[in-house]
Amino acid sequence: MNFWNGLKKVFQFGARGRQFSLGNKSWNRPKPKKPKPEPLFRDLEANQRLLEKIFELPTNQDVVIRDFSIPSLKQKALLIYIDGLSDRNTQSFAILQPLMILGPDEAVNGKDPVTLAYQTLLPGHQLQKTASLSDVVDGILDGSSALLIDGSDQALIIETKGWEHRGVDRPNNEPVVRGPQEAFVESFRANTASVRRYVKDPKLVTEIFRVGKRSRTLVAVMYVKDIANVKLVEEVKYRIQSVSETVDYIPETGTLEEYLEDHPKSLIPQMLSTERPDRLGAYIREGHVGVVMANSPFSLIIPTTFTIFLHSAEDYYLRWPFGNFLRFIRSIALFISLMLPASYIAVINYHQEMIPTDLLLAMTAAREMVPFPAIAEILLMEFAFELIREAGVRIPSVIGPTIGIVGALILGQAAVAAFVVSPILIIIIAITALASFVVPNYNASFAIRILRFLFIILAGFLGFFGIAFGLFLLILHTVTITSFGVPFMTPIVPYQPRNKDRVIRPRAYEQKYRPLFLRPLDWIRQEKNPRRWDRPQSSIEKGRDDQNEQ
Amino acid sequence: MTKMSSEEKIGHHEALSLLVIILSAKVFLSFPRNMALLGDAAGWIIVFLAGIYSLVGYFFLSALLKKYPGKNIIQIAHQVSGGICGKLIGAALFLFFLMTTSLYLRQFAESFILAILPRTPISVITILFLILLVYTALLGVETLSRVAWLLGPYLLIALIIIFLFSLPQMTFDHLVPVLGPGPVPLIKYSLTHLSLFSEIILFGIIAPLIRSREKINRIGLYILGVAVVINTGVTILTTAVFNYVETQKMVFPVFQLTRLVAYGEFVQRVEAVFVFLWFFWAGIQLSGLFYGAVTSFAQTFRIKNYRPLTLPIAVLTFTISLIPASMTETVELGDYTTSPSLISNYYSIAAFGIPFLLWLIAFAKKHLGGVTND
Repeated sequence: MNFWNGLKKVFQFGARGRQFSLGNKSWNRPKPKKPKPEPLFRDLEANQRLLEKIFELPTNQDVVIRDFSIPSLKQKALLIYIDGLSDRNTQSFAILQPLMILGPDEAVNGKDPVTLAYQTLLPGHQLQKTASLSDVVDGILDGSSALLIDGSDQALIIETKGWEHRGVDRPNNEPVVRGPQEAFVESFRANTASVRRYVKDPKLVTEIFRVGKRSRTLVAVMYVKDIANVKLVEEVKYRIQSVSETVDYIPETGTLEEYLEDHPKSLIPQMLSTERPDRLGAYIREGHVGVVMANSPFSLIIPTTFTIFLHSAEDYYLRWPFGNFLRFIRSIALFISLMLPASYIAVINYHQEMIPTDLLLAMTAAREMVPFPAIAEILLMEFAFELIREAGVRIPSVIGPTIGIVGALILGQAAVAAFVVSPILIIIIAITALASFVVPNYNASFAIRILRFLFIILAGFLGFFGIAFGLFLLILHTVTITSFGVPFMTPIVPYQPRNKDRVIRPRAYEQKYRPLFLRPLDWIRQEKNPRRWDRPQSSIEKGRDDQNEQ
Repeated sequence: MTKMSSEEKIGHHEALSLLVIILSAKVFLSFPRNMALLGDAAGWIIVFLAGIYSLVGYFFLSALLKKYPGKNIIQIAHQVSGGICGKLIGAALFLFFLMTTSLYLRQFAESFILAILPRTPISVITILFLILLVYTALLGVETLSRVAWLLGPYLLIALIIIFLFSLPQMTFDHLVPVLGPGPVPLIKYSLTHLSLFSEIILFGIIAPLIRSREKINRIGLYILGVAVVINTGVTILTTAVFNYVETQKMVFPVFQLTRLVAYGEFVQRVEAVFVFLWFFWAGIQLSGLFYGAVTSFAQTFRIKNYRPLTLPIAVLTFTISLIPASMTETVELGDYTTSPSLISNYYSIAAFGIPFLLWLIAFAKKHLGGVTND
């Protein structure tokens, strides 16, 4: 039976029936079930026993339970928090001090003590009243303090987060010359706030989920309510929720990406991870959905298309000739880093007639002493370069400079001097390496690095024919895959004539439409002629209209 | 419409580029040579006239597609002519697509061997192509048409580069005598060689998948128009560069044209780079025709899912493509001598005769009374 199932799978390959797409009107996801919250007890001691059981007290020495009594309410109370995650000053001066010192004002009989404490006693700015046990546990684990008072089945979660964290830093992986110089950090609220600073739109919605049955990591789904497509947002939330119901631990957006994406087996990344809040903000304004996760300085942009991998944040901050020049360079670099070594192999092995005679003589002379065939030589050098690359990331920073010496001297000069590789090949590898660093996305450059090896092998077998074969397969694949229902190669194919920001971007004032392939609720990004002084007739008419309206 | 095909939707840009590429892929094969053999210096007139006639032939196809919206030519055949006849017509179309796929596959494989891979066995190239065809057919025509639209501009640019670099070599004196063998034979040959544009019947298969229905008719006209321009242009180009006597002796004249691309001392003999042009053009064309073969078989016998058919039909294609014993035989199978061969006649009948026949039956049913199946 397995055989038939396998065969069935092969022949259903590429069938579009069950895939999610934004245009598919009849598509409906089941609404997520909300689990019934577990209630708290009225009795304080019962609550204490319950929490002690949950937090494995007293074996667990991280969690602190401070019991005290509130004279103004004439009740016993508990404060529970995790040592190190919460801020001591806040706890002492904004919780314990008012509760224990403030005297009784009036008769308090009959009223719920938690409500009273909430309304009259606690000066803290962020308090959450809850009756659910899981909220209390999550709050404590987040670094807040939970206040339980005898005689009430409600609890107060008081915001006291304050742990040691890294400050906002410059972006390490996506630096720009011109533009904002700040990056996301590990702190969740700092990240959502910095996105908010770039999108000061009251309609920017931050929905917060917890993923991981055990890790309970906070995940924020951010979108602009009246721009982002409803179905897209629903799909993102649906996928995140179904992951959070099934998976124990999700540590980082990289792992989350793998759970969420349409084609996890594909070599091509289908989501963009960025560490720049300005970039995430820009895409959220366009109708994309952003995913920010606690403990992760990388956010996800959903959905992502091919052209976005060629863009960098800086293209939009520079004047358009300059930005486009960079884009042009980058596109060529993409091509070089994918194709150059393979083309070299193809020309050397199969199409020698293409090389001009002088160059051919020089190359032959250089290769004369090298004992290996060209393909072995290039695979060797590419592999050595991958080693340098990986070592450069992993090496302890104290001995970092050694990498340069080892790479340049041993692999470059000594290999040539020992006639292991030819100098032309070193040039090829060096140009390829440079070009591969120009590709602005780390994930995309991974795909290119792996594909490069495949192309080298194909070129070794069949020359340009092999490369063309591989390229055709690659194009077929990229045209087929989708990112959250959006075709990966759009707006090139399927063609969107109104979205001109593909490889070369138009001038900023000419980009009238938001990406239509996202089917945004609001299509128009800007009015037709923002430069009114440029076209007097239309500006006069416009002015008249405005006056009439007033 | 079957369930599988209704999932796919094609934009009109994509359909246009796909069909243009399919119709004009033959210029890379021995097509310019055949035209030179037929019409001497006036080969291009034959292509042009055949294009005009095929527009007339296309009229019947488009009328059918308009009358039965949302149905492809085989479903129309089933509806108009009923059970057995519909199956026969579908089988005839399947045979047409199978033959074109196999023979073009063989010709392209031969051209690759001649151009860049002289010591590679033909089956290696054929099998690599078949892997591509099966993969594309499994992915569906939606993907294929997108690839066609994605690569179309680059293919066109490459063609224009060839044109620009051969400009200095062109002599319009080579185009005299203007009428070649004389007006009467020209008209006769262009009629008997309608099969030059026979691949347009694939439009009858994919037209119902086009998203904007009202544009279908126009797109077909554009397809034929652009294909006529490209095919005629390349015929003029080869004749003007090499003169018709030389063109008659070449197997793949456009390949010789790419050898003319040179600039200064450094850029010379870059014909190997044009392998990409060749390969992409051939890949898209063969995949399109193969898709036509697979779907026409599936729809003839009302098979809902065409995907399991891809492998068996690929094996069939491979077998047929190996029937010709040598390259000469391959080139001559398409046989464009003064008396058209069986295959060429069959192509013309399948592509233009069948729509005409169906149109006649539909017309007769409508106007002479009788049972209508609508």
